[in-house]
Amino acid sequence: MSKEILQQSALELNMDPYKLRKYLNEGERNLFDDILSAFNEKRHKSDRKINQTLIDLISSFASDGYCIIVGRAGHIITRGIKESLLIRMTADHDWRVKQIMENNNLNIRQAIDFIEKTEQERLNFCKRFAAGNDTTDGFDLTINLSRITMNDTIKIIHSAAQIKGLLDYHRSKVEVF
Amino acid sequence: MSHEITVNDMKIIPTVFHLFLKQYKLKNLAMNNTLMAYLDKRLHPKDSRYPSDNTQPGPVICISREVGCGAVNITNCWLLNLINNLRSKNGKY
Repeated sequence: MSKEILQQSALELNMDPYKLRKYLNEGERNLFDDILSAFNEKRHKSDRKINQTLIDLISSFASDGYCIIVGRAGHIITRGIKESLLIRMTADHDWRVKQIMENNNLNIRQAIDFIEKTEQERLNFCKRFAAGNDTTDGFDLTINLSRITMNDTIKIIHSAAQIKGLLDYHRSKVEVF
Repeated sequence: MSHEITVNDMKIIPTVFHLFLKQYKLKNLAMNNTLMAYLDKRLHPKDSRYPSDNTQPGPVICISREVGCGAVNITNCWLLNLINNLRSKNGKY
């Protein structure tokens, strides 16, 4: 799940999903911004309220288990869960530019701009939950996709999940006494 | 003849309350209501849909990615593989 988290958060906060997405991708907001938007918007939600809703939602999905969270700072929020596998996918810049050009039908300049803009938005999003810590830290596994095929990537993820015991299909949840 | 309320009587109350909900077909409505969801969770401590507080959280896989890595595609492909594996193991899904 990735976009589903945003949709569910928007539903809980009674906000427009597009507006919430835009809001989350913005840089840091200060108290003055909050006060201004409180006067401006009819259904204003404070920064703290939005962050807490997202944390609660992701934690609840993660606690229920048997799910894969792509992005949305899932690796920061679920860091404390023992039965979790935190994966980071990276690739060389040129490789990523090529992928974006092919998939989104963009020229090289547009692709580079898109990458920079989206990276900044994701960084802003993650910073909300990182509490000053490095947002690219603490992974179980980091895979460089420009040096490995997609099939091999899938095999690596599968093996890692198996090694950590996350793919025991028929087991029941372990109770703690 | 007066009937004193015992501990066993108290245990019945949640069940009666749930039957009441069921009878009036409020179950679907209850799922959308936070209070009802909470009560449902409390009344069904052994229901697998509502894991108790003693249950360990997870398992969960979190994927963080750089822009252009296509993590969603890779995840979907892996899930398809997993489902196919399950199908071949069980003969059905």
